[in-house]
Amino acid sequence: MHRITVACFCLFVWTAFSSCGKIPTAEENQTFENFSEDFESGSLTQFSFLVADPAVNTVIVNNPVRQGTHALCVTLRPEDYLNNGYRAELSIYNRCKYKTDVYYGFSFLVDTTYEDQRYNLICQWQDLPNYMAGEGWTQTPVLYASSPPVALILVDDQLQLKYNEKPGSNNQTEILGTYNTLLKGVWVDVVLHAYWSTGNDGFLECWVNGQPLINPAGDDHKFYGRNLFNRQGNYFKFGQYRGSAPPTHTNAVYFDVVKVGHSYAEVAP
Amino acid sequence: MKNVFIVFLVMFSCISNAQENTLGQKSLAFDIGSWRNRYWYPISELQFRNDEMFKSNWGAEARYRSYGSWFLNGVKSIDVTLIGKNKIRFPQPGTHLWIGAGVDIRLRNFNDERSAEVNSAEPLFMMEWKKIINPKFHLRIPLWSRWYSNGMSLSLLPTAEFYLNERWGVFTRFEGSLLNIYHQKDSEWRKDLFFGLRMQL
Repeated sequence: MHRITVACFCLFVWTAFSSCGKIPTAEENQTFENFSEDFESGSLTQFSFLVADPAVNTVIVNNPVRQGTHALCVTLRPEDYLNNGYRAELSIYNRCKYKTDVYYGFSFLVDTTYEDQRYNLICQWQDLPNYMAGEGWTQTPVLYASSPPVALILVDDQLQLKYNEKPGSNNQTEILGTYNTLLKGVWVDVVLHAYWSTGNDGFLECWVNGQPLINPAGDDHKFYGRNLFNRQGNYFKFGQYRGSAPPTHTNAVYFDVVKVGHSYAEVAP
Repeated sequence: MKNVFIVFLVMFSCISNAQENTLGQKSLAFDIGSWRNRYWYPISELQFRNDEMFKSNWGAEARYRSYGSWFLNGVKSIDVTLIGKNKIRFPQPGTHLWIGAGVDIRLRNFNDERSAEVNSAEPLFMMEWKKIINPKFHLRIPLWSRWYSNGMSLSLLPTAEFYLNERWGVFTRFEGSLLNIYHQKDSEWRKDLFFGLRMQL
């Protein structure tokens, strides 16, 4: 009887250990695929949509273009309210993983008819729920809302790179750099280099029209600090996001040559 | 962190005037949290505990945890934990040690392209110290280890229970978990905090 008990126990232990899943935490140095979309094909299937009406908010146009013959026009109207904010955004997932070194590049043009001085997020690297710790998008009650860890913001005819280090905060962002000579009707090339981390080894580096945006700190133009709220990583989205206050005008911003890669050369427009 | 743990254990074992338990052995607890790593996230939990089954040293615990809700109704992400344990009585009155094993079942139904989480079940081994400071105030320090195919986790769940009467008590529990992937130096700390109500059955 005793032998049978021991044998059963050993069988239970062996079965338990051989059938268990992976530990719910992210590994370092995960791989990711390069991403490239120049809108020449006329298709937007590579993106996930955060738009009220794709036929109106995200239209491929022939003019203006940064490269080739097509670009994307993102239009935001005062009635485009979606997911707790006024937005028209396209998103790309699985390109901001924990402890990976990633470059993002794109060009944008603010339409000459653009009006409104209030902030407008041209692109953001927003946090994800920590799925590995059981979290999802829906909560009861809603306790958690924060500004994205990293965002490029159009405000007062300037382009600002903003950083938020606090997961529970939506009004304590820090300006890392400002591009003052933003002109309507002119293409602007942006490259952002990030090492995504929940610790202080994370960093950001950004160029606008080939010039470093972040003020120099020591030998380089990198800003060091935690840029992930959890190990699930961030996701990248671009377009227009105006928060909870309705826009006063219908505004258009054009995008072209959106890339994610492993080096500056791979993504620079 | 290691030093804090040792100091806590020494303080815990040196508390004088400990007394034997005067409460029932079966209880049902409900608690909510949590203050996670610097942000609030709702989690709710229902726990059944029987510290003495069949008038023997064997006991059992069952825990249902729902993520994203304070009302036990989460459907996207649920943990179910089942534990069997054996009590070792210390010579010092009011101090007990349990050693046990069980299974931790993770049910994940995100249906979201951004998540690769799937359902799984892992073996769990536990130890728990219990100190009865006085009839109204009990301290527990469970230590759980979960074993995965590519790593292991250690969770320390110090719990302070204050009994208002022989039926009802309140408690607070801190959960500190260390998740470690084999062959990687990088470990993750997770912290949660819970407040709850316990009913003796």
